[in-house]
Amino acid sequence: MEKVLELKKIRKTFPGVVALQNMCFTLKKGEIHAIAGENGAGKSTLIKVMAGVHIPDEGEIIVKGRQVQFTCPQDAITAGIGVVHQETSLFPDLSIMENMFIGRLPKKGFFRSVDFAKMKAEAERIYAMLDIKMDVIKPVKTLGIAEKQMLEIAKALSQNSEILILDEPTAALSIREVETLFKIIEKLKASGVSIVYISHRLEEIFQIADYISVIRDGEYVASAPVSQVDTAQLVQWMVGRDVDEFYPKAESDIGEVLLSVSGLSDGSLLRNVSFEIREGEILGFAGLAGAGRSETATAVVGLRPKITGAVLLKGKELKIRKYLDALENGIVYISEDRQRNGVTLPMSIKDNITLAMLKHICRFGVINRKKDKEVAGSYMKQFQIAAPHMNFVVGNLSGGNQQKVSVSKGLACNPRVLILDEPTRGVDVGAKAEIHDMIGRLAASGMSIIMISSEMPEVLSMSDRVVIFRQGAVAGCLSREEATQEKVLALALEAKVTEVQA
Amino acid sequence: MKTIMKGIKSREGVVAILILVIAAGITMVNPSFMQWSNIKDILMNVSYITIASLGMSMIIITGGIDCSSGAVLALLSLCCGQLAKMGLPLPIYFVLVVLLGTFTGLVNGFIIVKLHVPPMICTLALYNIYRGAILLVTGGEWITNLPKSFNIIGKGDLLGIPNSVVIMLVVVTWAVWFMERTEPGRNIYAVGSNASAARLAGIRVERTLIGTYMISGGLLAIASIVFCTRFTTIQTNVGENLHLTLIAAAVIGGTSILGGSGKLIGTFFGAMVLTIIRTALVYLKISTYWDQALQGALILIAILVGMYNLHRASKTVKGGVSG
Repeated sequence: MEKVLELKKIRKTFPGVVALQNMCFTLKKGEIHAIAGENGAGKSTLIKVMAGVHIPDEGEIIVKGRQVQFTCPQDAITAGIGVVHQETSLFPDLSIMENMFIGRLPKKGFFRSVDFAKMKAEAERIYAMLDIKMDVIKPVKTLGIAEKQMLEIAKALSQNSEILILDEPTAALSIREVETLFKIIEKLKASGVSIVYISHRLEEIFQIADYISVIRDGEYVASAPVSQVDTAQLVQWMVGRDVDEFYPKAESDIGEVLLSVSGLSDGSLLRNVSFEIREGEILGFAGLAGAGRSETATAVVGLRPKITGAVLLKGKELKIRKYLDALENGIVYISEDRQRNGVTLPMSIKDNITLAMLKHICRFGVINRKKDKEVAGSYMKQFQIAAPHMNFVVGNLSGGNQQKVSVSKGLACNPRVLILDEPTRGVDVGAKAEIHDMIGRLAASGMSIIMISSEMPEVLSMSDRVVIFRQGAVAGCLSREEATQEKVLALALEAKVTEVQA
Repeated sequence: MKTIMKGIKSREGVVAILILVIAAGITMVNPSFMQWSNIKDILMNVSYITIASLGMSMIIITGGIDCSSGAVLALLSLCCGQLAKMGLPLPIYFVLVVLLGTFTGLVNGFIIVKLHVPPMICTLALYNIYRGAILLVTGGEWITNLPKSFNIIGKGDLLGIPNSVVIMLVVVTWAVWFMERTEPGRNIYAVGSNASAARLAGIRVERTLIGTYMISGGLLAIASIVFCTRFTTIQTNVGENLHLTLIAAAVIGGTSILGGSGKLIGTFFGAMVLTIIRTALVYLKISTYWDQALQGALILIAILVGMYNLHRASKTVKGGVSG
């Protein structure tokens, strides 16, 4: 078969990070080629290189036998590469056909007015080709997620794409919608379009792809026809390294069960999630992006609506309707999105730290300024927040120090259960070690800590137990002794869901 | 000494120095500017603007805006006069007016927060509703024949200092203390700079927002009393474009139009700058027709300065303190 796209020895660096190295990839005509890898393995960077968003530092891109140099996304489109991103980028108030041709609307006449008749005919032709029966003058805001995704595919095809990159196309789709999407993909394949298919869901890859390539830590690992590999082989390729003992192990006495959650469902993603955590324990939440880790945490603390599920603190059922209810019961959630939900950038370090516990140092609403300073000062010292003084504006701190402020704010409320969502995302190595050290000390003091992390080594070395999520449900729970990278990943990926009580 | 230097370098300090510079400049051209009678006049003129602009500042800090203030001032002034004419005792009708003002704030807050109407649209609509209602009820007629006691606040004084100025100083002190030293005050800053982080800190965001509009309404009521008790008749069209003056005072005083930051002492100074410039036009024999254009220009300059600082700050974030 003819090679339509070839990447050779691609290298891409960002300041301080090597995102891709020695990356090779070959796509043949009419092939569905899946790319698999852990969170952060470099899948999105690779797609962006193919789509002309990132310009590689080294290496060759060869499209249909001709070496090309993409300088912008338009170059990739011209070369016949269309990308359907995970998040659709459509204009809700415009019609289907307008969305398909936006930026290159067909024009006619002396005044170059928009040729609606031609646009409609073109759009209908493409939809007919995909076997989609829908009125193309419908506004996009009336479409469901699956229909929007199909419109994105149609849009890419309308640009005469011969290579289509689908980035997690099924992440937001229901099982039935996935079937419809797969029919369309098969149809495209039959008509000679080559497809790069990125998905976390291995069962989908086995169902639809012809060929699979695995990448890890920004490097090409292996590729093979799908018919010749099994899950175990893939997991081994994806992990491929030993957990290094980089993170400190927390030594703490594990006590009674403090918080237990059972039968948590939210009607959309979460299905019957149950787990419990003991005093002084660090419970890791592992799983792929979108598997329901953060969703579970936010549903527990009342930031996300839940349909069923009981939250018990020391055996007593809590009625948590809003976050304040959780806070008053000593359950603190520290968001993964530090800048949006964690710190208040224009306010000072002191004001940020005491914000959530202000009522405890107030008398009739008047702030006790001495205590205000004491509390802020003690956390600043304890976490070595690097700033000239406590009235320093948080917006001017580095990411790691902002994270320390965010954690301090949560800790100042004196929580019994602390939920940390990606506590070390985007912080440098030094601050990371300090945050790990701090988590260990807090657990040793008897606090129960839930740590959500996408970094496998972090989860494995910090946690006393690991709860693994898959597609909104608990896929399993492993103790520190049992948990290996292979086992965790196998649970996070595997198609068969075995309900394990955590 | 260090704190003094820091104070001078801050936005409020700059505005305070600006006031002194303007005053000194005018005095050099026309020494009669520094007469006590004139200073007293300026302070009396600034008193109601300051009180009302403190409320506006709080609202802007939450990320909102209030364009209905002028109509509410007219409405409350007329109510104040009418209640006085009905023979109610002075403390009673003052309290009633303040309650009514707080209620108009509640209306604003409810529509904005609970019904999710953008603040600008909601308050512009209410501006027109109030103006219309005033004309419908009064038929455009002024309120006259007010009882003598009516002018105690507006015209009276305490040890030579006009009552309105005393009230202003008390209100400024309270407002600064409220925003700096109390829990609700700090919550207002938190909600204005990052509502979702505030919610995650357990702050009742909706309650804080509605409360801010109510406090602002109450302050507007006090401003209305200070304003209307200076006159023996109350016109129906008072307070035209008042909201622009209030926004100007807040913004000149360093309140970020994007919400989240600003000091109320700055708002007081901002109101002073506006009033002094307005009076200065008379002393410098410049047509008062310049007043409106100057006010607009000042708002623009103040916002440009604010945006420039913001831009500069966002640049330093990347290279900020590391660790």
